[in-house]
Amino acid sequence: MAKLMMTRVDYRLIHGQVAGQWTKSLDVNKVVILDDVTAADEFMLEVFEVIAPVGTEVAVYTVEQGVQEWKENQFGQGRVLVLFREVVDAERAYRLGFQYPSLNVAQSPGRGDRKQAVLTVCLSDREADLLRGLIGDGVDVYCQMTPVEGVHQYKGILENFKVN
Amino acid sequence: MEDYGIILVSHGELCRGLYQTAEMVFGTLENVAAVPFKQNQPLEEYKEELLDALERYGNNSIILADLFAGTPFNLILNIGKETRLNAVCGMNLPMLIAALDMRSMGRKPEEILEELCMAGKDGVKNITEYVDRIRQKIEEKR
Repeated sequence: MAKLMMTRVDYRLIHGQVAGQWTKSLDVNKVVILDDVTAADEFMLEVFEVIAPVGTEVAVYTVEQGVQEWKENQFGQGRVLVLFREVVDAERAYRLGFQYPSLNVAQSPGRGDRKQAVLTVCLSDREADLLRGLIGDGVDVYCQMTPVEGVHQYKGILENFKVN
Repeated sequence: MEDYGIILVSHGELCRGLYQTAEMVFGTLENVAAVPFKQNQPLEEYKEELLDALERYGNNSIILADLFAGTPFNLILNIGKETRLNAVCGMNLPMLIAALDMRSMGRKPEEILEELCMAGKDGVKNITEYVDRIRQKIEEKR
């Protein structure tokens, strides 16, 4: 089975921090994206292949397909970085059976009923609850933007977090 | 680990902007300085600022300059007559990120100058050509 190097929520999926910093510092050779929108977008599928760092394979699945892949072969071989676009997707995947030990919630821009929780992460009350649920189940839920930045734990961040 | 500095020099504020941009991609920058050459600034004064930065960050710092044969470049040559410096020009974001990466891996400044030039060049791509290629690939699949 593949080695899970990091599981991350990042609204921008593959971008500077992920392509440039994380794949290098974690020595990742496969990026797995679990995102329904991207999986249905043939142009973006090609784009991710083009922008993937040299020597890095990119696989894109819908959330459900991805969980299936995990159950069947744990994403194959190699050192894997898993990306979700949204907190709800990451939580759904966990409930469906992709039980990652830790989750780096690193990018979620402010939209609609979201409020800043930490750095560049804005959450809605529902998202905060989903993360609390994961923490309750023993998942290490944290925020780390880049390898050189510090780690922030959501356990403390969410203690008094409330939008409405 | 960061036992040498990275000094960014440019005509105007480019070096400061690049510093800020790199923080967004890389994270907090340690031991990096931006020394802009200001419009109408006397050359001697700017040279002093460069020498100050070298004194603070060390002569073994890596200097990234914006433009071949520009004023910051010329001053580096001038200072380099007496002191051996580690400097390259044509700085861009890929080059700076490569420098930060290599420094964090413990690479020696005098050994990575060629690689920094390569990183800067590798970062320059024709996006339109990429998009055309992707479009064509999708067309072929249909």
